[in-house]
Order: sequence, then structure tokens, then C-alpha cells
Amino acid sequence: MAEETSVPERIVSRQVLAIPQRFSTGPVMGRFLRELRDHKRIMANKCPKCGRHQLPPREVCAVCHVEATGWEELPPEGAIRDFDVVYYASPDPLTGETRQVPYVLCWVDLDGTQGDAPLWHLLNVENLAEVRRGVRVRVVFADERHGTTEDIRHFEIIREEASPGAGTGAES
Amino acid sequence: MANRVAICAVAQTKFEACKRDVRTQGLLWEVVKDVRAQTGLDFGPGGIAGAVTVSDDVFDARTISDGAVTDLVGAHFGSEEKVAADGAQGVYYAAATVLSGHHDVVLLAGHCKESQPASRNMVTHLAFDPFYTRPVGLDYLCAAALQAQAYMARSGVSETQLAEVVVRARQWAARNPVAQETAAVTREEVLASPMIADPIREKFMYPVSDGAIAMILASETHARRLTDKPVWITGLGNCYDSFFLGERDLAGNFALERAAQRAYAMAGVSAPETAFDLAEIADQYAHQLPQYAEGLGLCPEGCGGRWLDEGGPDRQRVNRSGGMIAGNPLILGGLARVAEAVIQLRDEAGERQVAHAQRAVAQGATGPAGQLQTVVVLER
Ligand SMILES: [Zn+2]
Repeated sequence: MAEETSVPERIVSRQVLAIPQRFSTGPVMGRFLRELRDHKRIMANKCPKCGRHQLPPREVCAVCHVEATGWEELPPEGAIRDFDVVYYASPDPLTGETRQVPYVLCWVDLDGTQGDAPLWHLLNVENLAEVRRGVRVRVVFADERHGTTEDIRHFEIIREEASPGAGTGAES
Repeated sequence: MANRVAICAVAQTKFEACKRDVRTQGLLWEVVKDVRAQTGLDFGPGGIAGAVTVSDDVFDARTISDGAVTDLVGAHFGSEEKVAADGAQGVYYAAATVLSGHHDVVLLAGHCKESQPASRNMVTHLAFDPFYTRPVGLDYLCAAALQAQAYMARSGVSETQLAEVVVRARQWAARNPVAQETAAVTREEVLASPMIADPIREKFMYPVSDGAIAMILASETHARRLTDKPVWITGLGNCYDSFFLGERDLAGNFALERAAQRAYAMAGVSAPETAFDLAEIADQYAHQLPQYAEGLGLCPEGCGGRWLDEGGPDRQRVNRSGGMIAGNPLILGGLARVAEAVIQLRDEAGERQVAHAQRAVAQGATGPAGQLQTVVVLER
């Protein structure tokens, strides 16, 4: 028994950290989520001093340090600014489930904005070769909405030449 | 100190059990806006040059919790440092920023919504290591109960005396417009409240609390420009005790005594029993009022029980704010103590004003059973 082995110790301690949380949203974030849920509207707030949008809306203009009191509805269409195709199956921390891969994450400059209101979400697309900067996309809202970011289901590519229902294999 | 640093403005939200109608950013903005209005300062050159924020990743449910508030404290394209500890440490950090000459005018801003997690205890449980102390169920409440057992046995403090601490705290809290627990209670009601972790009863604990605090700290030249009532920080000290509770003397005040010695040496205080016109103690739990009074040298070591019986808290004007036991969130307990000291030294404390207050001491604690102690001496 004196001969303790030289094998390294590999006891592993497995743990899960979880604390249920509830977050008040306040008047600004709250209005953004309520408009999504109730009216399928994408609302940015606006700085009264410099006029820039904030999306998602925040209480204060970070540049001017004044309350961003203005509101503006933005169209649910725009052009992809940046995107990435993700091949890594990152687990959802809430469910432990992994996402289906590959998935496409993108930032979209909504029409009428000057690069100051990027909306980021998933892009639902079958053919990855179609995903490019500048491609025009639209927001697809969820049928059941609860006042969360998932009230937007995803973006989809706009196919201007197609008649309704045709050539949109991407619709889930 | 070669240079001097002053607190030039203070703002606090009302402390409440659950601020349902505002998110943390809105909460913090309320006090940032207030200190800016008091001083006329904007962010940037000639104004607020840097910020120190105080927040907690687990209460905010995100790592690097200050990232959520940079827009509000002028840190967008600017500078900001976060203190993930009691806000009294934020005072220390902001004062050091000024005294070092790094910035002349600094915003200090802290927030916490203890109402966000399902249980405050689940949050403080995570402050313990995952291998030795979490599996046995430790959280800050249990740690405080162990501390209370040890301290009460050594210093002869009774449950009835602790009930009187709570009764008195409520009486003063009723005169503090930002205090949370302001309803009068009787000794009997306190003693009839449920036992939570022996000897800590429900009413011996600070309540779950939401709130925010902001201050402006400035170098002497700037302070005189910003206010006609600067409150000078003349002493600062801090000290950590061991992480493992078993390695500490829980009945004593190892860290607090050293933190106080350092602050008093800087401020030239040699007889703390008589040196201060008022004292603010972060009494998260009732027994910590006499225990930390010992640690601060307001009464001799081991004499906390006698100090309570002989009216020490009234004689030395301790916790006229109502104290932390009247309700401040974790990590703002010490910062609220400093805020009260500033309000008193500015002669703005209304019904609870200490007449002719010239010098105050404020204490804050971070970690289980007061592991990290911070002491601040302030003078008008
Ligand atoms: Zn602006």
C-alpha cells in the first residue's frame, strides 16, 4: 500500500448555477416590448439634441447625456449590414438545448435610418449562399407574442420578383 | 494628505422593497441627474472627467454589470471603473482617483435591485466557494448568524437588547425621507418575529431593498467652485479578513479594527470614543451595531452590551439615518452611511440633524460576516 500510484487525480466537481430572476423593464424598454407585442411595431427612441435613434431604446443618449424622449416607428424592412454563419452548437443556458446549426445571425439597418438603429436577430434562410451584406430582409413576427425579443421570430429575405407563396422555401 | 478631496454632492433614491416601475438604468439615472443638477456639471473636459460605479454581477444577472450603465455615467467614449464591493470602497476608489491627480472631478454612482433575484440568499450563497462552503449551505445570512452567536456570547449582548436596536432604528428612519422601514415597532413585536437563522429573527435583518446613490467627488480647487459646503474626506482605511469563516475570530473585529486604525491615522484621530459628532454603521443585522461600534473604537472591546444599556448609540449619535437595518441593498449599505454623514455635515438632515456636526465616521462592509471593512472619516 505504500506505493501510491502516480496517476494524476481527476475528481471533477460538477455544478449548475441558476438563480431565477425577474427584471422590471421601466418606461423605455417597456414601451419597446409592449409595441412589439401589441402592435408588431418596432419603435426606436430618439435623442432630442442630436437626433440619433437608439435601438434598442435606452433612457439616455450616450453621446449627449440627455434623456432620449422622442419615439419613432421604424419600418420592418431593411438591408443586412453584418452577418455571420455560426456552426458551433452553443447551448441555450435556460434550457440546456443546443441550437440547430448552422444558423445565421445578422444586424439589419432598417429603412430610413442612418446606421444608428441596427436591429439584430436571426435570419431564416435555406441557401447560405444567398446571405450577403446589403441583401434586403423583412421582420417576421411571432404569432404569439409575450413582450420579449422572441416576439420577432426572425428576418427573411425579401424576394421582390416572387408572387406570394412562391419561392420562399425559407419560411418555417 | 497633500491634496484634499471633498464630496460635493449626494443623491439617493428612496429605498424600497421592490421598485417595479423602473429598471436599474432608470434607477441610476435618477441620482446621476440629481448630482449633476446640484453641481451644474456635464460630462467631459471641464466637467465630470471619470466615473466609479458600484454594482453586483449576480444581482444584475450579467457579467461586467457596469457595461449596462456606461451610457448613464458619461463613460461612453470616456472612463469608468467598477467596484464590485460595498460602495464605501467606491468612495475609497473615487477619492484615490482624485488624490492621485488622475481626475479632478469624479462621479461615483451605485445601484442594486435586490428584488431581481428570486432570493437574496441564492445570490450571497454564490459568494462562497463551490467546493467546501456552498455544499454546507452557507450564505451571508448564515455567516451573520454564526457571527452573532460568537459575538453575543463574548460581549454579553442579549436578544432583548437587539430588539431595542431595531426599535430605535425605526424611530430614526421615520425622520429620514429615503429610509425604507419607517413604521414603528415595539420590542415585543421584534421578539415575536420569526426565527430565521438562530439568533437572527426576521426583524433583526435588513429588508430586501432596491435603490441607487450618486456622489460627486472633487479636488480642493474644484470642490470650492462646485459647492459652498464641501465635505472633506480626511481619513480612509480598509482591511480584509480571511475568506474562510473558520479561520476568523467571528466574535471580534480583526478587519474593522485595522481599517479604522488606518483611517484614523490618516485623519489624526486618536480617541475615537469622543472624536466624532456622529457615526454611521452598516448594521445589516442588529448585532452588528454594537459589534462594529466596538471595532470602530466607539466603545471598548467586549463592552457592546454595556454600551447599548448605557445609551451609547444616542450619546454618540450613531445611525440617525436609521442605519442599514432600515433598508439599503447589499453593496450600498456603506455608501448610504457615507451619504448620511455628508448630509449631516452639510447641516441638511432636517428632523434628524446632529447640531454643529463637524466630524463623522462612516463604515461599510463587504462579504460574509463583514470580511472586507471600509472606514471613512469625513469633516466639514
Ligand atoms: Zn444625442
